[in-house]
Amino acid sequence: MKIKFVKYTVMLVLTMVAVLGYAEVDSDFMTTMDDLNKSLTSNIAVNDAKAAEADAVEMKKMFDEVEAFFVKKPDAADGVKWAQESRDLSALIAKAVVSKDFDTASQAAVTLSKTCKACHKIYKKKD
Amino acid sequence: MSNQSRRDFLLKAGLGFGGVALSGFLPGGGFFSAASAADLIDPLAPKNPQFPAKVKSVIWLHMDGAPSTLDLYDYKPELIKRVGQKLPDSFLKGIKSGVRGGDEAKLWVSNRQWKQYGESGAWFSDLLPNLAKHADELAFIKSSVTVGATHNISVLKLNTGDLNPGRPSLGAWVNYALGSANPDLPSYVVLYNDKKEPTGGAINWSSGFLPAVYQGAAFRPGESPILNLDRPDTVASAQQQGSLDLLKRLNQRKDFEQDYELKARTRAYELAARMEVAAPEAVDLSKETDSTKELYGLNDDISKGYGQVLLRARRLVERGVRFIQVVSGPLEIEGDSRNWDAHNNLEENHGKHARAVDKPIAGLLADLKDRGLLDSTLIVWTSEFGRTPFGQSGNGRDHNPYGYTQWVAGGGVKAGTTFGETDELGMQAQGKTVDTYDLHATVLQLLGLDHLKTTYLHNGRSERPTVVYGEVIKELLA
Repeated sequence: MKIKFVKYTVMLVLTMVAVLGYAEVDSDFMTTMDDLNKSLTSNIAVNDAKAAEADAVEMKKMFDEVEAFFVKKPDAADGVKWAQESRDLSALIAKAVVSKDFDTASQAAVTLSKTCKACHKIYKKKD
Repeated sequence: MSNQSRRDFLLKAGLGFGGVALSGFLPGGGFFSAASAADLIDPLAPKNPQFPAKVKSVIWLHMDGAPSTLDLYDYKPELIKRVGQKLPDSFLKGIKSGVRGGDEAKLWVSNRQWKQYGESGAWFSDLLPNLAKHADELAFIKSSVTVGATHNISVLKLNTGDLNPGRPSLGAWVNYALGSANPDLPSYVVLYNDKKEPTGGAINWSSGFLPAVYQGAAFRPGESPILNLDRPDTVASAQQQGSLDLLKRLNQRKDFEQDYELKARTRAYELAARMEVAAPEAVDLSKETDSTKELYGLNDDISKGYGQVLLRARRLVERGVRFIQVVSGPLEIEGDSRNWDAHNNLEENHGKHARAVDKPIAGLLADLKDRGLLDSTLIVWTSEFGRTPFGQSGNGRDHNPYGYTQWVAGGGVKAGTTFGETDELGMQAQGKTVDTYDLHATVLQLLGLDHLKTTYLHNGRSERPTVVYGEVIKELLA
């Protein structure tokens, strides 16, 4: 009984790792990013460096996934470029808030949001 | 120090410290509402801008229904050359099917004559002969873009920056950030020249999640601008004054001295009483000269309604109103009441609507300049979107949020310039585009407000007028 339970647990964990590893860049993923972006904007505005850094780091990771998604997609060089730019902007924001440079972070966050918009215009299926 | 004054001092100091402590818990304890007791008493108390402002007032001219700026300002020789041809697919990159006009849509032009005006050489069609004379006072934004292709949604975005109701309009943000410069009038007024309220209604001048005190006050056309503003016939003037005096005496009793909630309510009642006199006077055109009335087109039936509204706008600017949102009204087109929304019969539609607004807007610019007010006022000519270069119904145009023209004029504006462009057929903006957020950020900048630092705490998040976007268009600034 105990061995069976361990087996099932191991299988469940492996399945979850596999699913997460190939997470789709779908509408849920984008909704999460949108919310994270709003949270980041707010945290920069209230000068909460710790929370803003956490948001920016999380966004950077998500843009890595977006980049991987576009690399696999045919004829999506623009998408790859925008994902890379967004990842770099997320990194810049994380760095800026740690050094309490909230003005730079604010401006970079606006550029990041505009980059998202440019990408959505081409690749988002519906307005 | 006497016992009485010591007690007063302790009480006042306590309230002062308490007020500071309390400010963190007040709704929206944001940039401006690091609240003082004065804010609690009067949320519309004047507040300083964050940096020196270029203008004191904004007149926001919303052309309701979305004019075809391809038939007013955005001259496209290539469109004329290719008339009757299908719009090449290369011009539709990134555009969703909703506004593609179907496979049969052909490039179309109206019967326009085009000419360059002023030293700037700005293009105007023959629809706007009076405004064209002010070419060198305008700064065009020819790469305007927005989201959505239905009126209500895009009008909401134009005014609030969002596609869903709930966010404050730009005027409400201005009201919140700067307060009122005239204690006798609302500092955010909406004007329109129609029998009913404009498209979408009050959500377009709503205060959203900001306190309701910052919402716009809609002034109806006619002599009585605000509903129920007049004293009821059953109450005599002296009787009303007597009641107000008694109320004031009671409220001034010492035991109510520190009741800020009561003071706020009293202020609101007093404002209402003062508005009974000030609002009708502010919009009363009877003392305006005949030449001024003619300047605004009041002598022509087609421009009279809009002209009256713009003349009222000037009077409100003179009285310190911060933000005046003017919505153009419908006209009779083909026997029906229609705004600028020319899906068909654009020739008649734009012919009439242009005549209705051309002289009044030119008159407003000239009048503000003559009175020395143009330097301290910002005029914004805007719409929810533009229209397609391909035709619809044989003689109209469809909605186009992908590229259209707006303009600004007045204080702090780099007059006689053009920023941005659309492609050679006028379908999409190219290069650096200007979304509604960017226009809002630029308007706020001219009022001395940084859109990134004009914030309000709502549901635990710091919100701002430009949501997560917004860039000041520096090329438009003098």
